[in-house]
Amino acid sequence: MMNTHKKNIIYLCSVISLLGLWLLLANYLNAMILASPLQTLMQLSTLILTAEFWQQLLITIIRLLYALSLACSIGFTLGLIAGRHAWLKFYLAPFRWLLMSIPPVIVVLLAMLWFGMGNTMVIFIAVLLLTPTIYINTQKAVEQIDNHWFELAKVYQFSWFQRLVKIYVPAIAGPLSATLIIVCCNGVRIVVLAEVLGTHQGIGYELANASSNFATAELYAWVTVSLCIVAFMELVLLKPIQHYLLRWREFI
Amino acid sequence: MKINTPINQSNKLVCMNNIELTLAEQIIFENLSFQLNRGDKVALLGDSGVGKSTLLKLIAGIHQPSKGTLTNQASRIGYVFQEPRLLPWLTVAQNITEVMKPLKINKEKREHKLTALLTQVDLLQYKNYYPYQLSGGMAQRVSLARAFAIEPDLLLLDEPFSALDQNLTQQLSQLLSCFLKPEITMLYVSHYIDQVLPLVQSCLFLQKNKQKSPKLTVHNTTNIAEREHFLNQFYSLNK
Repeated sequence: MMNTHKKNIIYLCSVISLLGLWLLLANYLNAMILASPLQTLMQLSTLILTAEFWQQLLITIIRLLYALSLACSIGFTLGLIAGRHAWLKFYLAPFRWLLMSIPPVIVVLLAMLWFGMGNTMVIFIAVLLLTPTIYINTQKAVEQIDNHWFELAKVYQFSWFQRLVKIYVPAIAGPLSATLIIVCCNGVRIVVLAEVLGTHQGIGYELANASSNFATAELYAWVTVSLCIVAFMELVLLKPIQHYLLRWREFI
Repeated sequence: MKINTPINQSNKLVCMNNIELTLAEQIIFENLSFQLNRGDKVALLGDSGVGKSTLLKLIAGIHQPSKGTLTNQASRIGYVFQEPRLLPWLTVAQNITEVMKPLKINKEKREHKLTALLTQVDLLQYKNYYPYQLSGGMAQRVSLARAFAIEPDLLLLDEPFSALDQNLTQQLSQLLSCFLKPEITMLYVSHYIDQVLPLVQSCLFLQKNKQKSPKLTVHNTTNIAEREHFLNQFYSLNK
């Protein structure tokens, strides 16, 4: 297994390559099209000193947290039940097909029509688009759990909470953590997209503003902020959870 | 066909009457009847694939009969499976304490019991190990300790030592006899007849009926020599 030091060096090399590529492209392209990493950094340092930046960031994060919590709760609960009870899986199949094949922009337009502009619309869109991913991954993972564990739980009279915490969650922890990473990344994208199209607050709104004002450096600064949110969620929130749930695998 | 073990009716723990079990649209048992009384130590013998493990699962409530009545008055069932079946994401200590939680035993008592059990199976120093770090014999010892952690009134053993070598099997059989108390009812499925006989009072034979599903016959004796004679006869007849 690769040690942490080696992993960090590889991560660093990757980030440097990405920044190098960005710098290279910024040198060849017009500053109106692509701001350089330095311009972006300078703009970002100016932005973070303003109260408005933190306000907009907080609004997006709160929307994101609401959307992720709701989508995870609904998707995980339904996936768990459908993984054990085939009738629910078949019942939900048409809904899943519909939600997974409908273009996000149509959902945005419909949500704007139904809820107007604002928080509800953004959260509704994100929940609607994220839930099927969590649901299908949980349901498939639960179907793969060895029936031996359920026999054990039955014989030793495990409570539903024990089954959930000691059997379901650890047994599906691998696929579930991969799903959570996908969902968090997609969550940021969907929330920002919804904000671009239909709100007066949040990172998406600031992005739309910067774009219409041709403030390229500001635009890239807000893109960098979105990337930082994804990185924060993956490295600071999800990685420790994943590490905790899968700690026993280190011994295999 | 109904064959009851000749024991006191009022003291019965498990009672099966004309049970029919259907799994995957296939009839596994038909008109199967027997009963186990409190304190009985019974061996369940029969050829491979005849349904011994399925019968244990039926008694444990894992399978539900499609016909007939099954009464199981055991409130605590200890089950030792063929493989150790330890939850791989829990440590040895957690695997044992987890089964005690539904019994509402407080944490302090659980810890005390855990230490006592692990000392008995000689695995106290491995309490924080994960199952993947244990050998087959060690894992099966944990499985045995787990079954006794709940102080079972019914103990179901499904060829628990079949994957182990003879030395380990002997050691674990001795360990099992140390754990066994008179009030525990035991149904022991095993191919190692020599090892199971000293632990039981009677034997149940699950036989394949050529036309129908398996049937049970019973041989009840405390005399080991007599029982061995019966077993020899039984197996020579079935060859």
